[in-house]
Amino acid sequence: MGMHTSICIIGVGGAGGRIVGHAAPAVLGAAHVAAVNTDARELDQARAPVKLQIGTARTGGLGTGGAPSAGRLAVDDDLPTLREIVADKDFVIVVAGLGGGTGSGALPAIVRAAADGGALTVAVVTMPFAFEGAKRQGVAREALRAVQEVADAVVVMANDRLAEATGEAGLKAAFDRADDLLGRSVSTLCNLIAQPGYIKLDFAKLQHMVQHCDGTCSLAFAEASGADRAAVAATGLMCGTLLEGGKLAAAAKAVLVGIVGGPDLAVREVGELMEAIQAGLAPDCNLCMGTHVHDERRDTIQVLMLVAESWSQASAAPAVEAPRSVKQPRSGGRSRQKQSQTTLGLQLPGRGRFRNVEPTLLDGEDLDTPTYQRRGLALET
Amino acid sequence: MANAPVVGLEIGTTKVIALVGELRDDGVIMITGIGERPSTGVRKGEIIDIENAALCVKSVLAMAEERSNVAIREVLLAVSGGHVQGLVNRGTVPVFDKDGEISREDLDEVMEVAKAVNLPPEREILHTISQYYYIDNDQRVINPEGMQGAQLSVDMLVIHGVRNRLNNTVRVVRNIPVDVHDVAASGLCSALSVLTAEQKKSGVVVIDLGGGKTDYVVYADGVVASAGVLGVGGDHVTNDIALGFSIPTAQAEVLKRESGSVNAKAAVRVPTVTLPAEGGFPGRTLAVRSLNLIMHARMDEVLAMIKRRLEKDDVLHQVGAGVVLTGGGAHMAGIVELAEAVFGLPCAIGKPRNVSGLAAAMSGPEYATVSGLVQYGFKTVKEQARPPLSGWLGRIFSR
Repeated sequence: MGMHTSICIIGVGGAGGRIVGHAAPAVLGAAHVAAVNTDARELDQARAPVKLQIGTARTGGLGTGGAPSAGRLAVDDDLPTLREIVADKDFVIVVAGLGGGTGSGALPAIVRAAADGGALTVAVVTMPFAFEGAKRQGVAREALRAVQEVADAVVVMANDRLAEATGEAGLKAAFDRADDLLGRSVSTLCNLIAQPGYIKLDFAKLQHMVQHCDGTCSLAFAEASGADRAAVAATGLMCGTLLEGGKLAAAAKAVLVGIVGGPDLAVREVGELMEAIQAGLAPDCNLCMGTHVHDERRDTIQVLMLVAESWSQASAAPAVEAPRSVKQPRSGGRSRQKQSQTTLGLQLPGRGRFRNVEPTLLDGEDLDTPTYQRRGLALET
Repeated sequence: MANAPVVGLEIGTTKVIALVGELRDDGVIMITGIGERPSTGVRKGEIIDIENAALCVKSVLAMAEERSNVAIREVLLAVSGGHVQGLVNRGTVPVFDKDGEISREDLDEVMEVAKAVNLPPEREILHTISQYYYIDNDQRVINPEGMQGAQLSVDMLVIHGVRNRLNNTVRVVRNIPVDVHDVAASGLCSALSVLTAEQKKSGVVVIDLGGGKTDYVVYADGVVASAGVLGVGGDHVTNDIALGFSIPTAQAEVLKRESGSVNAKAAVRVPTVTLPAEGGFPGRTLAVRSLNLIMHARMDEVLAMIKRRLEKDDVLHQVGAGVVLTGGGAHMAGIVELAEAVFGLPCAIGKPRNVSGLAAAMSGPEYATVSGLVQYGFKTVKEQARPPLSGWLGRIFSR
């Protein structure tokens, strides 16, 4: 990789398109953001700079009707164009909601195309809500397994958890917030990896982290501005709902922190932030960090934290919502905090004892993966 | 003694066990020696490291030799693994007698036809067990000899496995070198060991919860109606706990044995359990409810999968005597209640029976397979049904 990593974010299907739409405005530099869909109407609504309708001859632009095979074939139809999008990229993030036809069917094929083109690939996927039924769950699991085989790293998030994180909001608002949260996480991850930093957070660090955690991770994300923004962001992260008031961070084996700020980002602030985070970690915790400074990011600081710990499916319903300051108009001196956190499952070869033996597969399920994880059960601590 | 001693050997995922059995003149099988060690080089009931496994087996056999005062030259070997499966194959022949009377020859012929099942080239038949005869595709009989009909059929349960994997287990023993006289599927041995004749008659499910796999066998009307193996066992429970709490496997194993229950609804008297700090491990306090949740999820899934397979084989309605749980996994707290909830049938723990001698060899469900293996050995000697090195074992080693 040269000075500039060339990077590409692709949203596949309806959910993927919405998420990259939220990510696109926040992505810095020359990263390419594209939405890919079989459904012309959904694609029309996606807010991505590049849009590609696939499988038009096959589906007539009406979508797949929930059939993953149609999604898979649609990729084959338009493979040359897709290859063009991912050509000469160092790093490709593919985002999709699994369970439907386009996301589940097309995602693995697109990731494969990117990997074949020589890029490092990360798939960020959401699993369907429980109420969507066993069939969609089955389709999603099948697709997850397929993408795990081809992607360098897979980040999995259950929609049920996103719903918990967004609380009692209305359906549209809840979806919007969930999409926004994933979008911001994706864009921050992308910025940290793609952009040069004084302390670089590169893919090797991410990969190391992901292997180290040997299973699942939590993700926390905080954004703050104003004079005491470092302290506000740190409090948001370490006292927030997802890390269970820092309990999860305290138990973490490895933590990765990425900070994105503007030219006004002070060394003191980074020090303050890291000190606050480290105070909440176990002494033997493996900590990786990276920063990126961008001219357009004046005033605000964004912090992304990946926490490798065992309680991946941690406490389903946090008892107390973290105090969230009332949203205020942007003004110089006052602090503004926006904080959102949720649990991510980093599904990597977290097979423990069964790492080097042939997996036990039955009806498309890897039985070596703990049942409670596959059933999405929450552990209490 | 009239019969030579029989040595049963099970190379399990958790333990390697050898039993030496001798048949007394009054027909009782006496266990005269036992060797056992924690297993090495085995995962999910299959060999992953031949050299280490062989070292372990060698020392187990030496232990059994010493205790029994028998020089072990050949053994009976239990085989298992997720690849071992059963299928029912029906063979049909026309009856040639002009009066339509079914003769001994017709029986032999229909058995041969039913055994000739088309398997993928990498698979070998382990056992063929005849179930029922049918005359003119209609009347179900146990012994049709002398009856009348135009057509005779028989249902044959064919238990088969992947040749290379079966060979790996055999190779471990032959590398020592000790001869393998015959092999038998673990699940069948366990059933032989823990069931009474009445249970077999009224229909029963035997589930052997092993360290690396789970075998199941169903008896209906006195014959084996279904059999198979699921490549999931107690190791998976341990691994789930280790991953769930991010603790070493050894600690997870202790938690599973001493603190956890597979009954997620079990009353928890002490809400947390503390793992002491030890050798670089910082020590942890964990919620027992989470531990039970992990264990319950796994075992609930295993039992439900077996139930689904048996529903597919359409045998559960013939089970009147409930479910018998055996194997080391039967020690898990709450397993009987869980199995009752899953199957909706009465459940019990099955321990080895029909053998006497060393108390250790009869005390626990984890000895069911190997004690059944010894019984199987004497049974085949008595029936002379299988000459030594018959079947695939003979074929591979004569090549």
